[in-house]
Amino acid sequence: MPLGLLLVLAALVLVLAGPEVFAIGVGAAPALQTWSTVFVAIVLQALPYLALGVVVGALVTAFVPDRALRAVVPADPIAAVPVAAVAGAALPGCECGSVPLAARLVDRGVRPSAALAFMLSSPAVNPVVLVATAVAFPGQPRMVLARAVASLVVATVVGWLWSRFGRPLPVRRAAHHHDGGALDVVTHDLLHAGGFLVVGAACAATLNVAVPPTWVGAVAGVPVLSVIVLGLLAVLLAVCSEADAFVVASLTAFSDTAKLAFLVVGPAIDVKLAAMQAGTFGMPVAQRLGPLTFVVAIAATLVVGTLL
Amino acid sequence: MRRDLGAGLLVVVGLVLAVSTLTGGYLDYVRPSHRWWLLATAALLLVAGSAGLFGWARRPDPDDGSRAARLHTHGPLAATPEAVAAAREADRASGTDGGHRPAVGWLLVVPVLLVLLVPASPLGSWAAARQGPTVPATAVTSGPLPPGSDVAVPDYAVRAAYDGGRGLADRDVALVGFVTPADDGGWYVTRTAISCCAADARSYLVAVDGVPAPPRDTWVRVLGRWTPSATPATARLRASAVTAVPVPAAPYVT
Repeated sequence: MPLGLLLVLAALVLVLAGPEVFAIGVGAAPALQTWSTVFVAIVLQALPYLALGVVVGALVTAFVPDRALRAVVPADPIAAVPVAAVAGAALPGCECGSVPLAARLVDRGVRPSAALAFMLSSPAVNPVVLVATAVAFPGQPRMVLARAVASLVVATVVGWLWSRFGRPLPVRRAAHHHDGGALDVVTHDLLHAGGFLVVGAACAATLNVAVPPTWVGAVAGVPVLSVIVLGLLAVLLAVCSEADAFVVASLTAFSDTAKLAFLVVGPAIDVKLAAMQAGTFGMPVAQRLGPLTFVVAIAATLVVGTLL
Repeated sequence: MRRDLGAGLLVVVGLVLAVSTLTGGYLDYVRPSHRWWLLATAALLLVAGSAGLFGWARRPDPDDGSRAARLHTHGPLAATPEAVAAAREADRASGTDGGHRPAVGWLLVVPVLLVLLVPASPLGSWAAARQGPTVPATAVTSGPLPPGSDVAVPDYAVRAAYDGGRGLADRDVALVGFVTPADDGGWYVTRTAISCCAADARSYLVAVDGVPAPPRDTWVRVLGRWTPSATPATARLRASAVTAVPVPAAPYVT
């Protein structure tokens, strides 16, 4: 019997036997129980969006001809980056799907800086997230506008900086051009991105349980520091971009600019995304991209927050 | 990871997703409307995994295998040693020697085991006590209170903490939530609100006067009336009766 079938049968036994039979006693340790719940929650929340990104990426890989891609993405990097950032609005859902899709776009020869701009903007400027932001901040359409503008600025500026100073992104084209079509790409990318999603979710769940929810309150009144601290909080908590507006709306002690930092930084870079970027593009790229994105996002927040 | 094991793993993850969604276990982790996303994902994983497992999608694949393996190392067609070394290097760089699946995929076993082995439990009093009794200020404006006595804990808490109890005074209300003990021997009836999943949870705590604390984390229905709270941004209720209730199917308010 093939080993893969054996694996499925073993899991079937576990499912049928029910969790109670195998229950391990973590009930006595509420911190562990909370960690487990938050960790599984992040994985269940993110997996469908990741699958969507993987499927779109596979469809692009298998069916979109080079001609079409070239027609959509301008050849000039100065123009390609903002076009890709605006195109990010077309992918609904949270941030997890954008990383594998960006990797597939690079494989297909899309300029890395444009693929990065798409990856950074799509979780923040798609309609689902903007509507959620509007619901979380009723009567404050400025917040929705500021979020969209600042996120587009971040994606564009990071993309431009990357095209000028960044290193090339690894291309896997040679490995996958030939094999079994879209379904094969889906299988590969689900295992790859899914594995790194697990790493990121474990980091985020650990920080979620370890960071006391009240520690940020002390700096609420300090102008620039509060912006940086809420930006850092967004990195540590890795809240999905559909939900971040609801989380930050409850931090009433903070200024609108500080809240904007949470909304602009979170979808672009957090611990979960950093783990997925490191797995997809390699550690050297992630080490540069993460801090660069954070600094640009804080700067964009301060500028947009002052103007709007 | 071997190709068949990768396919089997996808089937396993798909099965666990499907079972967790169909039995309602997913409600301990994510919002109810995530159901359709989860079912669609489970279907995709089952199809992609089964295709790999049973070879539905297999085509005659001349390139199945690494670049280095396709080079002749002996005989008249033998490649130069440099070319073989370069091909091996390319295989290593692309991580595809032998057409394997990325090994990092094995980590998907971790959430599968946690779902299967750890008894399901929604976020409870531990997470609520960490956050503290200050009511999260949601910007949701409170319209008139719905008729009847049943009020959602977050609704009650926001009205009591930020609206001076407007619309609550002189009305019998019933709150359903779990028990969070307070440091001073009192207790709170508590409900957790989520927007997407348990990672973005906010807890709403209402201090209960007049009835001794039931055991931690039991679910109760508290009948009582609004009473002003001495501490700003907190909610309080003077209880007349507390009854134990079963854990609701959907433990979070969305």
